[in-house]
Amino acid sequence: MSWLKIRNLKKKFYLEDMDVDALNGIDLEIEEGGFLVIVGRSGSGKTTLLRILAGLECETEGEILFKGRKCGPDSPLPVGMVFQEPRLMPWLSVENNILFPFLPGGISGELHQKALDILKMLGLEGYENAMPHQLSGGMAQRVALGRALSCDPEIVLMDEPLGALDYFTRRALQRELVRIYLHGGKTFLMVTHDVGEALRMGTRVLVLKDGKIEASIPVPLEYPRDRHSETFQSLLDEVLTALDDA
Amino acid sequence: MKISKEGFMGSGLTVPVLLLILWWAGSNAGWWNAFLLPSPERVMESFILSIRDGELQRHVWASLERIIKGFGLSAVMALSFALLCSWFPRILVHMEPTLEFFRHIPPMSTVPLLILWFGIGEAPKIILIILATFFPVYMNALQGIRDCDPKLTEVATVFGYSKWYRFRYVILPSAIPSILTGLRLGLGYSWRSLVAAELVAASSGLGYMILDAEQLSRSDVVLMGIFVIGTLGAFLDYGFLWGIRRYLKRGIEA
Repeated sequence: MSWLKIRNLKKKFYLEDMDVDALNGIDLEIEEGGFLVIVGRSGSGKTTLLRILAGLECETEGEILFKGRKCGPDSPLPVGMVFQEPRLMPWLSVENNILFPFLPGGISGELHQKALDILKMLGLEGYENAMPHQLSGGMAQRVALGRALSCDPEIVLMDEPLGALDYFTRRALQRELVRIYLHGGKTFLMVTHDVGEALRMGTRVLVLKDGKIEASIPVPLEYPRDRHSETFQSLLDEVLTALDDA
Repeated sequence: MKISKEGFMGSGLTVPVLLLILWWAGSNAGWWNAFLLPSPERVMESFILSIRDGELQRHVWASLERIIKGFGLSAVMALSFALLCSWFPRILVHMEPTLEFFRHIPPMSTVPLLILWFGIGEAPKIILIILATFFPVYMNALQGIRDCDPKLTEVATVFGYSKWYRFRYVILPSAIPSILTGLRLGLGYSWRSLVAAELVAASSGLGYMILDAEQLSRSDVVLMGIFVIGTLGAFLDYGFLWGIRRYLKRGIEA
C-alpha cells in the first residue's frame, strides 16, 4: 500500500464559452518523507494539483488515497500550505499568525511555547509581537511557513513560496527550507518555475505538461548540492529537455 | 484632537482660534449688526447662564438620550441585517430593490407621516434617527464583509476552519475598518437628523432650544446651540474612536 496515491486525477474548469482541462489524468505515487518538486510551464496544472491536494478545489474525476483511505471534503489530507504570498492575517501578531490553525480552539500556554519554538527555528526570535506590516517579504514568508508547520501536518504544500522574493532572500530561504525538511521528517510538495531551485531542493522533480506528467526525475544528490557538479548539470539538462518537450 | 509634536500650530487649533479672534475683533469694531451676529462674549454669557439654570444640561441630555437610543438601535439592526445578508445572500437578492428605494428617501420627508402615526413623542425622533443612520452602517458593514480578501479565507479553509470559524476569525476582523467607518458616519448622521427632528416637533433637546431661541430673537442662544452641537458631535466621534482603538489594542485577536 503506497503512502499517498493519486489516481487518474482530472480537473475541468468551465469558462463562459469553453471548457479547460487543467488536469488530464494524473497518476502519481508519493513516498513518505520525500521532497517532490513540481515544475512546468504556466497553465500546465501545477497549482491546480496542489490546490486539489489542499482541499481548495474539487477534482472532476479520479481519486486521492492517503494510507489507503480515500480523501475528500469530509476526510481531507493532513496538510499545511504555504502560498506564493505570505497571506498573513494583518490584524494578528506574528505569534497568533503562527498559531492561526489553533485560534478556534483557543491558545494555551503550551501552544504559546510552540509558537516561540517555531519562531526560533525560523530565526525570528523576538518578533512574536510584531505585526505583519512590520515584516520584510522574506520574514513574512517564514511566518507563513511557520503557520503551515505549526499544526504538525504530515504533508507540507508550497505553491511557489519563494517566487516573490529577491535573489538573496530566496537563496537563504531555500537553504532554510531544506534544513527544515531534513529535520522535520515531513513530506514536502512544492511548485516552482525555477528548475535550479527544484534541483537544489527536491528529492524528485515532476515535470507537468498540459495537465499530465511528462517526466518524473529522481534527484539522488546529497544536501547541500553543488550546482556545478556533473550530476547536477546532467539532471538540469534532463529537466530542461523535458520542459522543452513540454 | 491632540496637541502634536509640532505644537500648537500642528494641533488643528490654529483655524478656530483665528476665526474666534476675527469674530471678536469684528464684533468689537462694529463691522456687523450685533443682532445678526452677537459677540463671542455675549454667546459665552448665554452659555454660562444656561448652564447655571440647568437648561443647557436638560436639552443636551434629552438629545443625547435620543442619540443613544436611536443610533444604538440602528447600529444593532444595520449590523445584524448586514451579517444576515452576507450569510444568506439570497435575502439580499429579494431585498435589494426595496432597500434601494428606502435608501434614497430623505429621512426628513417622512416627518409628517411619522408625526401622524406616532404623535410628537419620542418615537418619531428615534425612528428618524434610525432612518438616517441605518444605511451608512449597513452598507459599509456589508461592503466590508464582501471585500474580505478570498486569499485569506482560503488559508482558513486549508487549516480546516468551518464556515462559522472562517466568518468569526477571518471575514469579521477584516471587515472591522469598514464597519467602524459606517458607525462613525452613522453617528454623524444621527446628530444631523436629531437636530432636524427636534426643530420640527419637540419640547426639549438642542434642536428645540435653537428653534425656541429663534422665536425669541435670541441669536446668541442660537449660536450657543450650534457650538454645543458641533462640540458634542466632535467629542462623541473622538470618544467613539478612542474606545474602539482601546478595544482593538486589547485584542480583537482574542
